[in-house]
Amino acid sequence: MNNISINKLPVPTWTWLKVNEYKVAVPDKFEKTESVIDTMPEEVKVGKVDFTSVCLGDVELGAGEDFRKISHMAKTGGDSYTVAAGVKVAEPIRITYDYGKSSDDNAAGKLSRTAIVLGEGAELTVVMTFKGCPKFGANDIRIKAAPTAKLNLIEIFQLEEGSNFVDSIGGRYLEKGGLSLIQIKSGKGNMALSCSADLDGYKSTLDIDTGYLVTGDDKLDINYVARHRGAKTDTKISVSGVLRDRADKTFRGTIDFIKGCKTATGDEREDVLLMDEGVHNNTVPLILCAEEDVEGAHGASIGKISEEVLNYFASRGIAEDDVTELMAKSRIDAVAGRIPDAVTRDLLLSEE
Amino acid sequence: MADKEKTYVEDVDRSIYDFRNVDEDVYKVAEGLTPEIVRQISKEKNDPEWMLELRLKSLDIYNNMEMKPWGPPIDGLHMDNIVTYIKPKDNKMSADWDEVPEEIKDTFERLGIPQAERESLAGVGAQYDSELVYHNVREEVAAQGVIYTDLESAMHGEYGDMIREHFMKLITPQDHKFAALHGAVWSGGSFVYVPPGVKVEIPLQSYFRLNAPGAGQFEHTLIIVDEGADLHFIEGCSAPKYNVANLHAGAVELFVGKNARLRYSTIENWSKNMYNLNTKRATVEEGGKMEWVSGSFGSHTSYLYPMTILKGDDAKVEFTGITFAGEGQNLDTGMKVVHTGKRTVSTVNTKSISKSGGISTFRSAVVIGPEAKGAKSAVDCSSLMLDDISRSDTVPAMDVRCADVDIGHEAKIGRISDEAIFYLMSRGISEEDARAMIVSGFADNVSKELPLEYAVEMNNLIRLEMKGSIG
Repeated sequence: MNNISINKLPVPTWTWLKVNEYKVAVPDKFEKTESVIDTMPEEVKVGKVDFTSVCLGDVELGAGEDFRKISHMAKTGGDSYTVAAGVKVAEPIRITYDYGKSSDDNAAGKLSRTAIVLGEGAELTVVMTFKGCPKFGANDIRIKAAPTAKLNLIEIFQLEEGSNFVDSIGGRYLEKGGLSLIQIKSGKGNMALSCSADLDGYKSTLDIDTGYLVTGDDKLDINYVARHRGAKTDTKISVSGVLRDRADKTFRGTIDFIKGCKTATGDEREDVLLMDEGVHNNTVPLILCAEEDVEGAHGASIGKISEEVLNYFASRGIAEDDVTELMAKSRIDAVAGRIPDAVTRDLLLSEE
Repeated sequence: MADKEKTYVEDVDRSIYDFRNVDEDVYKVAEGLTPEIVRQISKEKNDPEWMLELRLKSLDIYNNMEMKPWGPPIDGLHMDNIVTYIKPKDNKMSADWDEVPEEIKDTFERLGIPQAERESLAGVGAQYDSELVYHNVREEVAAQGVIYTDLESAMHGEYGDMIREHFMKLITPQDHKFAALHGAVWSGGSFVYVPPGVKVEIPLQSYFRLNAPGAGQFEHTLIIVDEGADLHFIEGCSAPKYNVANLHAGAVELFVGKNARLRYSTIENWSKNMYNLNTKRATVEEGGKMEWVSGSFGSHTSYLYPMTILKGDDAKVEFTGITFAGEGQNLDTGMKVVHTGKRTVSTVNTKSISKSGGISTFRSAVVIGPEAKGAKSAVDCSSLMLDDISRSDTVPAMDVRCADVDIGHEAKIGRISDEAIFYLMSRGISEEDARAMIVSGFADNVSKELPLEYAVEMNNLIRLEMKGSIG
């Protein structure tokens, strides 16, 4: 196993806070992850992944350069999904990745690699569900959106206790192109989520909506970076989650207004519900600004359920324990309720 | 279409601070940093043995500590070129203004310090280069048992044990490289002790002037406000501009007792060749309150993050700050607070303005320990960009290890809002005046926290002259 640093803050801060990066141990060997394609619309051209040939070899990755090297050297192959210009795909791609159960600590890591390339005006929804219990599993998604192309990407993490997982998304968005990303982390295990977006084109957009539940001794590490280069670009990041038991979570969100992104806007929010005394929360929301004509904001709210809310429910005969369970579930459900694919949404909302 | 004329905000006017005295007949150590130089300073200061040991240990830590991988570059600062100790000629710390050497007296007269003392202060300390040259406290304040003197004298007097118990205990040489440097070569600074229950009605002030080119100033301020006592302490600093780097690596250690209150106000106006690598830290006991008011206007490069440890239950801190970064300045400022006591409260309100290529970074850390049940924290920071050649970054962090807390953080960045200008213009105010009002109002929350004479100084510092035309 080798230690690598991922999810680095674009601008580091005090080292004693231990939030500048996340270290993970990765195995020496990798295998391709098994996947089951539940639905694959015929408008989507499926091929073998070659990031370089579709100009995604050098796109900034959410997890960073150490992860890029691992992904590059793993040589596990992968898939590419291409939608031609002007094609709006109605049916989502639905894929379930099974990372299996690692036999021992020296088992090969499991890696999936995906390129998504959208032609001008194309639209696509991709739903990825991740299952299994890998000692080390990873997912490398790279996206290229031509002008006015839109991608809805929904990732549902239902991994098992004892798993270690890295999810990395990197993408480049041209004029009026954009990514709408929903991530739901409801399973167990240690997890690092990340998304990097280069909003190069005029009016390109990034919209992230994340819900998480972290329990036991699990760790969750999140790193989102939006680089605004185009004028009138827009980022919205909304993260809502629940920490229980001795869970440990770090959220990094960076909105980077690069000189020239006139009238760009960016907003990031995190709302964290702390349910038990042993939890540990880090929230690090950055705004970097080299352009005068922009509007950026970030906000965070961290704590337990307020006395007012508890009193409200108590006055209606609902016990405090029931209220906390209700509030915790509602955070995940609220994000699930915004999934544009009805099949996936209904499936998640029907789960206990 | 012609470009809209930009709102123009003038640079901070530093001419009133930018005068210098010729550096002659002074005693100074050689440039650089060696054990011999540290021993020389210690001998000059007549240090007790424990202080010499602390200095040498600090030097060792400094030599073996790496610079951290964050913050603005300090490539232009070369310790081999810095003189760490300069004693003004004819120096003798005095409580009589007439005994202060004429040239130095003239410097402080021009800065308005004696006038301020006469009109609105309970006591004044004035440091020139590495040494205190004047210290005085009003009789009625001294009669209350308030001690306000230079640290070196106090160390050899009846408060020697108290100083040894507190000196560099909050800021230790291990904290960071420039805290270690401070421990090795510190000189000058003030010691304040306010006895239990004593409320000092009007502020004490220390003013630090660094006159010599290529020099460092390393004053140490130690304030102990005992149980139930109350104090407002003001710190001011300035220097003339030189073409070589100057260094300020002072340390401020503040001990706020049970149910005591301390307000610490600073207007930092070092010249633009100054590397301001200052460290300030306070600890607050049960029911005590710490208030920081901080204005950062000067320096080439600043690292400044006053830290508060809310140790006692129900302790509180309020931090109000403004940073104005103009041409050639890279000001990395902010605050840190650590909550360890129950029901502790922190409230932070900061503003930053960047213009003419200036770089402003707000950096903060709110740390909530596992025992800090019922803790509350609210941080609000706003940044204003006045042109597109400047930069403004916000780098906050919240580390929470207790569930029973209420932590909030809000930040925003942008330029002067068109809607606000339109609103004011719709009420008959010209666009020029509307822009001026908005920028002035942006800094208002800090100036209203300052005592009157300092608010006036701040208004002098930010001379916001707005001109514009509708494009």
